Amino acid sequence: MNPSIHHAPYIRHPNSSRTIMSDTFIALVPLYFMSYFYYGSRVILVGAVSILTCLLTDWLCSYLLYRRINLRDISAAVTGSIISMLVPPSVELYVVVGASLFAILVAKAPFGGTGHNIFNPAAAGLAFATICWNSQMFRYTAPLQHLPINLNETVTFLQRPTATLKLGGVPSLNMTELLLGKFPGPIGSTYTLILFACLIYLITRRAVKWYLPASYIAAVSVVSALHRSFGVGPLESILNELFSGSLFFIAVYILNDPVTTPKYRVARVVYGFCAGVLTMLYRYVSPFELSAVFAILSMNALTPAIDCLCEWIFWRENPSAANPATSDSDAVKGGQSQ
Amino acid sequence: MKLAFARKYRRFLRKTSGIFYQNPILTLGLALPFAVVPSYGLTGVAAVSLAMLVCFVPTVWIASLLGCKLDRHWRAVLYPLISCLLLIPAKSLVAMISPSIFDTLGVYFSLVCVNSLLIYAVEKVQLQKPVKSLVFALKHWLGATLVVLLCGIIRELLANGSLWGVVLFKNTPKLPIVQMALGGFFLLGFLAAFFRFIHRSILAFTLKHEAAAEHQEPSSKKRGETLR
Repeated sequence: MNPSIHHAPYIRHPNSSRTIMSDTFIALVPLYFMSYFYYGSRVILVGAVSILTCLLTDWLCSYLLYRRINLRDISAAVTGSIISMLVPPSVELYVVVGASLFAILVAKAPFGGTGHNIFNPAAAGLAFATICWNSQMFRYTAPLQHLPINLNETVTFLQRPTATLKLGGVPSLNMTELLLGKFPGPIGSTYTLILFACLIYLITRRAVKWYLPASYIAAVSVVSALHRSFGVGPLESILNELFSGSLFFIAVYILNDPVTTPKYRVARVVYGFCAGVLTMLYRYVSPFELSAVFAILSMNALTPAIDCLCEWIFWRENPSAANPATSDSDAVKGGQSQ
Repeated sequence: MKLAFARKYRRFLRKTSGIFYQNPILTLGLALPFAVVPSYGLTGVAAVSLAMLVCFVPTVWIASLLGCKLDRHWRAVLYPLISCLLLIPAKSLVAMISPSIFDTLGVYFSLVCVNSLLIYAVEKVQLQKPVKSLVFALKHWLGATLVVLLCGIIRELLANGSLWGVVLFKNTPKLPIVQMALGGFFLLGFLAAFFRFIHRSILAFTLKHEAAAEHQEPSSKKRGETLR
């Protein structure tokens, strides 16, 4: 008999919140390199401001709430880098600071900090910035135009292809441009090929469950194939909707936040599918191009309900049985947030 | 000495119950839509506060006069009805401040006469004397008005950089989200947390000094013994 008494959790797993967050951060670094190549040093400044604001705010909140400041917790840095990836390269720095402050001060710290937030902090920060500074958030520049740190009158602002899609048009982009992200867009969310590589890395490292982005992309594909413009084939419509905006980036990085997604595998598939349908619905109806973050925030609110529904469906017959819907590696869930 | 400070602080809280302590909006969470929706600017705050003074305070006073003579079910109908009747003169008074306020606030203006704060207050004063109930109602009205006023000032400044329509900050970044109901709820939550933090800090300060005084006492006793 072992006389020593330990506190929960009793189930241990090699994946911790730090390893998952580190993997996510590593998977974000190549996007910074690509955006530096396309837009110059300004994107590094935007990223640094966003990450520093998130980290400092997180530490300040921990201090004010009498919690131990955990220097090993890099979830705030991940939040900051995701925010910086989804803003345009020509964005004013106060927009980035505002979004980062909102993400930590409103969406994360009041709910209990890392691992306890109901809404994804990065999505909340971006939604806040979209509502407050709409003109700043959708003001893009052409790739390979190196931007100065202080924007002057020589910078030309453009619309991105999703604005054309929203108006019912078809963006004139070939496959290479779509895969390399060589069109006006946010700092780091249009490089489809790199995003694919990062997704494979995250799935291999078990930081991402493959079925969550798969169900999301399936839902987006179905809706975009059904609701396509006149004279456009289903495949072209799907490719345009998926890769001409930030949708794929959001499917890889924001949708897979382990804290705000449901616990069970089936529930996650339902969550992803509903998020995809809502994204397309918001894209067609709402005035904002960045509809995916609003869809994900809506689904975050429904996460406990989806889990309850899943439990009711699977455990109603035999409550003593092991839950067939549970993923085998889900025991480590919790303790991290993006 | 520290005990004197604690007593003074508790006396202050007792005297300002309903205004700073046990605030109807920040502490009790009553009439939240009433606090959030009209506080988009100072005009809305002034209009609704005036309407509330006319409707809420007399209704609570009437409730104390009637006492428990009425059945509980009838009370729930009668007092909002009295408040609705008082809304008619209130409306004409408010129209003098801002004629367009009814179009801006819509149905939320009518929340002045049917809200959780009114129901709470009329039930609370059932056994109180009329003068005491009048003071109770005035304190609660003042507490709610101060919070709504603070919200109104912050929201108008952040969203438009102005106060009562007068532009104070022209070139500062604006936050239009603050003027939405969503922003109002966020702000109210942060205000509640901020005032709670202040209250707890004062209590912690008092306790810390009391503990320090207790810690000092045994040593002084020992010193006294050795001296003897």
